[in-house]
Amino acid sequence: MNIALAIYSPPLSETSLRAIRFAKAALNNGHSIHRVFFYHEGVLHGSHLNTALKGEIPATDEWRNLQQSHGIELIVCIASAIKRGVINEQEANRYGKSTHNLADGYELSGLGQLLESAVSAERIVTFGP
Amino acid sequence: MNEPKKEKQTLHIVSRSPYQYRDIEQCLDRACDNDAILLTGDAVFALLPTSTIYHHLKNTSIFMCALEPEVAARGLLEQNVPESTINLISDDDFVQLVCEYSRSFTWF
Repeated sequence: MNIALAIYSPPLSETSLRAIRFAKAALNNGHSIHRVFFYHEGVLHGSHLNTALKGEIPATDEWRNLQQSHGIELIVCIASAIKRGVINEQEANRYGKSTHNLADGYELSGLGQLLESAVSAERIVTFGP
Repeated sequence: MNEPKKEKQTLHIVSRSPYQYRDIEQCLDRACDNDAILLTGDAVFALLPTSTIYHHLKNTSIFMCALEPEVAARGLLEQNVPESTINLISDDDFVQLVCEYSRSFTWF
């Protein structure tokens, strides 16, 4: 079955870890994950400046690994992201910022991508704040 | 003639503590008989027999389940909650429930 996920919680939260476990379980059971949409505090997953401490799970890297191995789209809500300082080069230029931090494998895009997932995937699961 | 099997409709996912929010109560009020409710995160504190919501869970006909790793993380496996009240499920079971029910709905 083709499943999409929406994640509203920041990396290291229990909900974020639950979403990673869910995605791995789904893929192990032969399902596909079409897209992960990071929304609200969830956009903090998209910063490559996150560094998990020893013994913690590096959520940003975990998702990127799944993106590379299974071609999952990792979409970061652009409106939520720019407010929280998660930007790519283009947005850095647009807003006159001296640097950018969007991690490899992640894309900034609009809420339409969440709606599109809800329509095109067979299931959508929301991992709340 | 056999009655057609009822379609499994909505999987409700709850994650906030019943000591802070009324999510589980409101969810129970709105869920249909062929829905399921999954307790995750602090919502699993509803399994404490002293919680205000526990007797509602015991008496509902709705399929109730809780994510076992998150129940274990809170030291609640020792509560010996009767299997008739709650089904403890794995992450694989969570995926299976999402597929079996027509849709999922997360309360927050």
